[in-house]
Amino acid sequence: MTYRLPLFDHRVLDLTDGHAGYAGRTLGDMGAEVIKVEPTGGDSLRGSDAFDAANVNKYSCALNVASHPDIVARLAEISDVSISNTGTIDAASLRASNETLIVVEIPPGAGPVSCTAAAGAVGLALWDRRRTGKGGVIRVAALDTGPRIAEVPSPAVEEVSSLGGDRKVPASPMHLSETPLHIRLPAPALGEHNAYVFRHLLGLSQDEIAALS
Amino acid sequence: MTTLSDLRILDLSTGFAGAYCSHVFASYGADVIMIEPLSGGPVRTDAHSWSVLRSGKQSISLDVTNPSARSIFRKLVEGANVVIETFPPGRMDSLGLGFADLHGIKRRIILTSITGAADAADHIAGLNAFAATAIAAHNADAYEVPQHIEIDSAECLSSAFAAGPFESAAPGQALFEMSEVASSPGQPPALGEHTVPILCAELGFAPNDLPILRANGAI
Repeated sequence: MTYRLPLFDHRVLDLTDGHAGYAGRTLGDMGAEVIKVEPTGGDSLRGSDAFDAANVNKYSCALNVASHPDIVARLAEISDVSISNTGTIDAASLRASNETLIVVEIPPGAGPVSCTAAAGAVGLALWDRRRTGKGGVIRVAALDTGPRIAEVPSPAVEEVSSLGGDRKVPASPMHLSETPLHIRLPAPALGEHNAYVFRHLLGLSQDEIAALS
Repeated sequence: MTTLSDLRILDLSTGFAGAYCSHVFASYGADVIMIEPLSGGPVRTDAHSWSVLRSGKQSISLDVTNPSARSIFRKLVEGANVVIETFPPGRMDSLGLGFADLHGIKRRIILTSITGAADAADHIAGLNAFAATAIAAHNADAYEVPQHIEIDSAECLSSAFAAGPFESAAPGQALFEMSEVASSPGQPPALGEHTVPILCAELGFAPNDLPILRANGAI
């Protein structure tokens, strides 16, 4: 029997900046379709190895959230989970048109420990949602505001080549017998998946897409 | 607000990492049953942090090296979603309780094994085990997908987490708050407090079966 990855039919709207990207990466490792919404200037970690470690297994679209709350709301409407750490958009706005949405708020500056707790909390919230039909809001504690994602993977870890590049990123430490986790997508270029997100998912016209940037 | 009371976890673990993993589940109302050796294990240590780790869990004393006890454990697996264990690799298989055995009993079982316990990595290994198990339990619930999850403590420390220590998540500190799922502190059970209620009320043992099980060292 072969199975699909645990979160294969879940979409995650990742509005985080910096090291909090590791939460979405963990859900992406688990098979979720993770859409990273990046400011048009790019994530603050862009160019570092830590960016890759926090953003493999994601798509990227470039959008300034504060200027286009309507677009973010439409993405929230078709997502199962949103994750944010910037306070740019509040939980009530995200959930306004989708009561099944699970909104995850990670404190500013938190790193992979808070992110791993966040991923587990999403698992519990999904369990609950199957019974109640309701999403909710998860507020994650600041568990590691100092530590950062390791930029140089330890030799003790099996390093996984980022597809299409030389960079190595730390592999997930979660080993699943029936659906081994792996890096399906390299860390995306800024806005690499604009067409998929804006045209295919949201059905925007070329003119509307042009107006976003 | 709801709780996760229909998520049942059998915790065979004997160290901090496994106890921490199941503690997070218990904190949100999951039905965690510690399967404890007859004399109790490290989780019975007096220190405050261990009593926090026991809180909100049930306790059955069951010597899984005893064949009668193993048949009781197998009955418990029928009604469980997750089994957590920290034995040396291969031990569960030699007891007839490996992943294939458990899957044969409960089609969508999640078996979570934490290996290489090391003090510095206990928290982070337990947290990774919790996260992977919670997601896999949801997937098993939705699509009947079993999993054997393996988490190695040393690997957790040297992966994305290498850059710093787990600063402040003492047992008892809430990792997160959920608007729809109530946190559930609970009391720490006495060793074996739930052995008789669970065996008799759930598994169909008669009260006069118990002296025999006690006499042969199963419970």
